[in-house]
Amino acid sequence: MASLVPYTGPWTRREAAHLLRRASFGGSVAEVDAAVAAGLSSTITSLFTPLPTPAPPSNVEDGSKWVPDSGKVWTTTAVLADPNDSSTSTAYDIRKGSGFYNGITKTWWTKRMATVPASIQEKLTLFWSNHFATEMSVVQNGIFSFELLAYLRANAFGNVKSMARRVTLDAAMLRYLNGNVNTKGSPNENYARELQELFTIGKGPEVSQGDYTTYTEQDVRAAARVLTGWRDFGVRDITITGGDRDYRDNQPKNPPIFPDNPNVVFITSQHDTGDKQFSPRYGNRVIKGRNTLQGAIAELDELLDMIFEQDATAEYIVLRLYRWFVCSDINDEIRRDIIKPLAAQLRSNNYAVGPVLKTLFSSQHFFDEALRGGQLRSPADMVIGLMRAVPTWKPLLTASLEVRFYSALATSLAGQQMDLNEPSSVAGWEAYYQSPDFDRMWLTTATLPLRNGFTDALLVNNNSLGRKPILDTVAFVRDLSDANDSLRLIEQLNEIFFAVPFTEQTTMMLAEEVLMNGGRYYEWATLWNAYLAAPSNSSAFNAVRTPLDRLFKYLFRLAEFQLG
Amino acid sequence: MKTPTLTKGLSRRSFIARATGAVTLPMILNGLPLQAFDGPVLHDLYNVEAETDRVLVLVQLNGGNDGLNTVLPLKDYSTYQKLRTNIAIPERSGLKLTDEAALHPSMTGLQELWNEQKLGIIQGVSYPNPNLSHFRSTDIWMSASASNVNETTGWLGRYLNLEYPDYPAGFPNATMPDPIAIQMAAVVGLTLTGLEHQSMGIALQDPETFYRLVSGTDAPGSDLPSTKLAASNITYVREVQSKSMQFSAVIKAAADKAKNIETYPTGNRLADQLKIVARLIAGGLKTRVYVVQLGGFDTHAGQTDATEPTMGTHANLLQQVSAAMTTFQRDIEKLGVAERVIAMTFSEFGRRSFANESYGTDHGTSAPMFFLGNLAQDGITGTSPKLTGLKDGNLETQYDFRQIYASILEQWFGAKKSVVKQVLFDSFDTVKVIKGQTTSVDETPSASTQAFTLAAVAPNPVRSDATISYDLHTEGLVHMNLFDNLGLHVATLVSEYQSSGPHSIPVSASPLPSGSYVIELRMGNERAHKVMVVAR
Repeated sequence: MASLVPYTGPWTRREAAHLLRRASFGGSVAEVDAAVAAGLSSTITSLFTPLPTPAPPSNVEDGSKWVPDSGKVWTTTAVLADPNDSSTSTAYDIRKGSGFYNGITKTWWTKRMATVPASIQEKLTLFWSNHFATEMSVVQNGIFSFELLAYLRANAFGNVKSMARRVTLDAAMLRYLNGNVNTKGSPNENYARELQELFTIGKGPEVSQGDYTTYTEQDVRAAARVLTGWRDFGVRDITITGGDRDYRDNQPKNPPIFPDNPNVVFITSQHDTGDKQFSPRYGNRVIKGRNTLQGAIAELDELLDMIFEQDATAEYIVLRLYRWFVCSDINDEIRRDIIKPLAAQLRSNNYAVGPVLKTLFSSQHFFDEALRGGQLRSPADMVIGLMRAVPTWKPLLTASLEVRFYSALATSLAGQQMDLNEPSSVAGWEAYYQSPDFDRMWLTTATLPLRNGFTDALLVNNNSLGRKPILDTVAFVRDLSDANDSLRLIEQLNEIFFAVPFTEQTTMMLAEEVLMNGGRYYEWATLWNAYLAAPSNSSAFNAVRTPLDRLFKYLFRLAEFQLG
Repeated sequence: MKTPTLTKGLSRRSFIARATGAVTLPMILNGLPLQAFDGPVLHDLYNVEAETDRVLVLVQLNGGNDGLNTVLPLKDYSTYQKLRTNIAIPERSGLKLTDEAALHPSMTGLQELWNEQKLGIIQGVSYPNPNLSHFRSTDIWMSASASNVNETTGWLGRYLNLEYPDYPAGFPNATMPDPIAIQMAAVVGLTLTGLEHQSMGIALQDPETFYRLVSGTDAPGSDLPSTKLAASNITYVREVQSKSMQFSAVIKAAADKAKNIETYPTGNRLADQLKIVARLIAGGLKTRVYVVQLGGFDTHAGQTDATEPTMGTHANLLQQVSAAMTTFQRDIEKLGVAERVIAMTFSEFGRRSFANESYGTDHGTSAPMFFLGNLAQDGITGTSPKLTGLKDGNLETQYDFRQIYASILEQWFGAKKSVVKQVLFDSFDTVKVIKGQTTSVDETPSASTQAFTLAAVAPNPVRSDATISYDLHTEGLVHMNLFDNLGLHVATLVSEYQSSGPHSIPVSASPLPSGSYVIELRMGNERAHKVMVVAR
């Protein structure tokens, strides 16, 4: 029976690695061993300890600052170079195009995921960027996209309801889902629909035309009217008078409404002041129309109160979290014993996600053997997970080559179909919603070869690392105990890299057919001891490196390796 | 008998036989005494190959394409203009097709193909109780389910699975050495999900890279962990591994064999995909379905430029669609495979009749579908969309998209009505989407025999007994002979004076060795041929 009762079973490398893989992107041998020593409870505490707020990335070309300080708008004096003056080259230069700055953000984000101390925060940030999905290439404003991500990171453990409120009024989101053109008399339904369908209450079965069980088409239209009048400080609607700000003359017509979210303005005349009638799905609620800024905020709050009062909302959000962190195979038992209780906890904790995830990661259910390997690795689990698991490259990377190195990793993620902050649509990556395949969609005849290419390349000399490979297999193995015992060696690699144990037969096959290339498994000890006796002897070194490279390459190409 | 042989009455088995005939053809031609066949036999054999290799290219326009600005409703232009003052395409800019319809001005390529009678448009396609969510509506189109049913298999997946029942077990094989379907993307969509939830297609982006990355793959291991979930995941990954390996070589070989003749537009995502599809088809892949996609049609805002309604996001998208599809059509014409290929567009929904103030349109319902190809039924099917008296500005449905699917399955792939019903969960009236059977064996010049129609051999392949049916349009002396694959006479099946009307004769294949045979029906100077495959 699926149970949220705290897990009290064995706590070995296998369980610790499972927790680190799921709650984070996986750990190195040292991190896994540290978690084993610390125990489950303190490991969870440390995974859930917020990381210090990072400084935003600077311009990779000249080191200049382009993200405004927190709460500051995009102004000439603080950050914006005058786009009409070709002599300025600092700060956010719109002539470079948003793609330039978005590239910086992706590279910087990739580096964080690969190098921050073991934490759930970056994985949650990735989750939220997929849940409250936007696409940088559509938003076309590097600052807006960065600031949304910074918000999601800072509030990763946070209150989903307040996140929904902030995201509704986020400049990037206003652009992405056309909230910034949602106008009295001509409502644009795009955001109002996705807010309900994807971000909060989720869509149930369509029981009659336009009735999706949890909400209806009427609610989409009514919510769109509630949300009329909000604008980003963008360039899109510079002709609108009364509140928008034109970056060219840079004169704010109104001071920022929200000190911590300064890129958003409200145009009273474009807000629909009529009453908004919702369907029976929301108890025929009427949100009274108002004609002031404070009134429009009150309307939004009433809308979100109404949505978050429904049981379906907490359940939908827990379902999304469960699919992301545990498994997409959700049966009635899991719905009853896991999803519903966690949803109740989410509501009673005023929509804070952190405690709910702690309950989940501490539970018997999470450590249930039957669920191990029940998820395929996402590209981030694959790429970032490997970078974290094989830290032999870290000392080799010089600051000057960092950008190139991490940007190549971001490109690998994109190639494997997880382009950061560029999901395939507002529904996020298909792996997290498209039934019946879900996470299997990450792995196709097109992407599996790319994964093979990526793991093969770990063993090849890398130009950013002074022509040394990312994974130095000999150095990696030297840090393991009993490395001269080939069977024990393979067992340890299995504990660190694999979600499910090898059978004895597979372990023996790997030792004799792969590592020893047809020799006997015990002959490995001779090679390894010879190397340890003379580590600087190049022929002794090569005698162990070649078999180890062969073993790792093979391991990473095993189907079992794709299980997260 | 007026019903064309190809489009009706073909059983699944006989359909497979068509593929089998195609596969065995190289053996017939390869170093064997072809001269044993007379001209018409050879001629028909080539046509047999052609008809067995019919390809459907599915062009998915993601986001909900605005039908009214794609095919302008000239019939009620003034209402259209009023509904969409800010984004209406000026009447004089439209590329006129008929008195009632014009194409968006950026679709000049498709207009040329219209003039050449290679473009068909079906108006007002949607389904009852339309769903306005992108994701749900896309699923509905891909699964061909009723809008209140969540179906987790795809319409082409189901169809192909009925054709190739055990897939992926036992594939590739001699009958189907190539991927059954290819989606030119990183992921295969629901459209191709088969009855057992297996994907009937493979995902492919670039043949060369694919080959390079796959070569060196090992597919080791046969043992599975004892836990169910992990075991099923590992099994899945191993299947992907083995499919990648199996197909990488054939795909590369096909891609290497054919070169594009036309120059495709650059910076056009659809053209990039179609360019590879053309090479793979011309290179000889027996793949039956290709899926290509272009996104960006969710034009809630900025669909047109504020000052110039013929420009803007939607114009760029339609220009890409038109240029890509036109170049593709020209390319396959020059590559000599155009008779085998039909392209069909679809989008999850159309958009509202009226524009919003952000120079865009919101999610709507019905929209036109395009059919392109030498054999596409040209012209406009259906009427110009009604623009007045609409509910919430949602355009009315003239055709259920499943009618269109049924039509393609029957008329292009020759699926039996009972099979189509199984695939689409119901029977649907068809509309004409394919022109007359100009390439079928029965209507080739010689067979053009007004005198008779040689129908299918059933079952085919045949294990023991089969029946050959034919229809005489006139009475006369009939000769039917059976030849082996060397062109040698095996048996005389009919040699007598027969009355007009339907006839059928039994053939016992029991004494015949496995292989392909040719049945020739002759009346006077007119002949027609059928391949019969004996398999045990």
